[in-house]
Amino acid sequence: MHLIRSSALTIIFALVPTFLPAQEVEGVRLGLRYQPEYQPGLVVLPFAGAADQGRVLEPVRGIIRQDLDFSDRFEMLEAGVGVAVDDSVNLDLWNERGADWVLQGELGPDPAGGSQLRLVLHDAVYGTIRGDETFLLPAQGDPTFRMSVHAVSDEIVRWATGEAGAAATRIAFVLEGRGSKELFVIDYDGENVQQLTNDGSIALSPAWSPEAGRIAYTSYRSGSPLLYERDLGAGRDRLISDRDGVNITPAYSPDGGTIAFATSVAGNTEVATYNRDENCCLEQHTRGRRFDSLSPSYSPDGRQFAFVSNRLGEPHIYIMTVGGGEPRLLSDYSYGGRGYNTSPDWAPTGRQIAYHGRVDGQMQIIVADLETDRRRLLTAEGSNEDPSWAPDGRHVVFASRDREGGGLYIVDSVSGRVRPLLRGAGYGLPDWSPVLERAGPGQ
Amino acid sequence: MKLRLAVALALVVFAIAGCSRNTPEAAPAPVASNNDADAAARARADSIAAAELARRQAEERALQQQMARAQEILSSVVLFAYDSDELDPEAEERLRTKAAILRANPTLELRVEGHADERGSTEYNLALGQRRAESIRSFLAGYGITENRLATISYGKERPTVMGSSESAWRQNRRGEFAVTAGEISAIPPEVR
Repeated sequence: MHLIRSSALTIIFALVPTFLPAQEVEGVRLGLRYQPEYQPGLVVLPFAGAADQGRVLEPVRGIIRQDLDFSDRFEMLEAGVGVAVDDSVNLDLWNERGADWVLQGELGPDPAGGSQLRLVLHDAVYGTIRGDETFLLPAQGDPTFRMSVHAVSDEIVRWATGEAGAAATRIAFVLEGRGSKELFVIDYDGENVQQLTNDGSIALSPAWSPEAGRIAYTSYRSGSPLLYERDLGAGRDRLISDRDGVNITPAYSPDGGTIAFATSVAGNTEVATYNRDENCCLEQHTRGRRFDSLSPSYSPDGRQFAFVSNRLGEPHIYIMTVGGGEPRLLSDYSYGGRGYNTSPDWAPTGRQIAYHGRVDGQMQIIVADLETDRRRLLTAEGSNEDPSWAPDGRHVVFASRDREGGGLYIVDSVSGRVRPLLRGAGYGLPDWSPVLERAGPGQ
Repeated sequence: MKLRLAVALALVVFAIAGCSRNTPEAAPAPVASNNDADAAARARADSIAAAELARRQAEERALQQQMARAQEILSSVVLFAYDSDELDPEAEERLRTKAAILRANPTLELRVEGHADERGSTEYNLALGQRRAESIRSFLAGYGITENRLATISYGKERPTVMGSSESAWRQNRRGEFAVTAGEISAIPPEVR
């Protein structure tokens, strides 16, 4: 009974205080309420199209409509049956039906074989046009078709909200098979699964490079946990680190020139960086005295990183400046409280860090706000781990163990809305890609 | 082993009894007496050889058993407490015996594998498994085993030995494992005898 639904638009998550264990510290504010947010209504009208575009009309409209829904920025309205596909749009009527935004689309042929998609976003409240552009789409059979439509959706979100959506993205993850773990990627909407490794070994911790052309990860295929970088275009791996002990938990710097990871130094696991451009220069950033440091995640300006350390005897999240300085404790610590906080991911928008921590005996996704120094729960049901931010700094993908049998889920950190990405056992360590494609105007 | 010894003893007793029973009949004829003496000597020699063989077999068997025991001790797991790399007295005792075997067999090399239970995050458990392996390696180093004979690897929580989410499964999965990567046991230290 952690969820109170007060209205269709307002979802408030709150942990009932009596359900918290007695040792919860005063002043720790897990389970903050989501801001009840008004979601403007949006309707996607049936698209108009030339005769030869008939087969593409509904697929394109369907992808766009779902992307806008998954953006969690709008309350999606049904266009309804018998709505005339017309040049003129009755904005007043749609406004009366609750629409703040009305999206109108028209598909025409493109000489190159694809389509030209003209989209007009009407502001139904003020009766103005918020966006009007024509986009080039590849043919429906083209492997880039869906991603191109996603990129258009992201642009529509930008027209309406000023911030682009995160639909033109993919998510890398690990799937456990019979005694092995292999690496996969999937589109953010659950389409187009692709297997990256197939060697019957253990692959772990995929991390996208900022330009999305590469994925760093750990594999045991040589016998020990070594760090590799997969070139997604060429489909080839190169070895990044094969030091004795562990070579784990990679993360790219925002400029893509450096890979931070964790490796064994004098009996401890330490955060180190590797200059991938010059293929050299291992640099050690943490110094443990009988404790470990791992799982680095860079701040968007690349000047700091969040990481995990057990210097207090149990794992917690810390922040430190690249190149030195004293680490600062971020997660909640109470002496003897048996805290357990790991797997930080710094939001690309900079203000927040997501991680998972033990709450009431279960792992939950927690977001720490760096400006207010407050923490709130994104999940309260089942056991949830390994959060990764979407490039919109709003959505978070995570692995759940017992929610509906487990799988990968996406939560909107603003509204609290959760949707499944992949259901089933054995999914883990998701990493959300940067934006893979931006929509440009056609012609 | 005891059975073998008993059989050997019985053989000796039987041979002696056989000798004494033959003695009165053989007395009159010197030639026969010579023959009897030869036969007695042969019987004695045979019985000594049989006893010797039995003893050697018993020794061999004992050695084999000690080898097997040493092998078992060498590859026996060491268990850890939750989120800990500390060795308890039982683990230390086991490691001291392992160290003795390693000292007696200088060509032996081991891979020490650190494992964790399923609780906690995949990534943190990799570091924890490594720490457990390192903890074992440095303890053995303290008993004179050079670190280059001991490779370490962490499997985190990726290779449980027992499936399930019970206290018992967790306990058995928080472990250090040992695999011989070079050499073999040829000498048995007193600690294993």
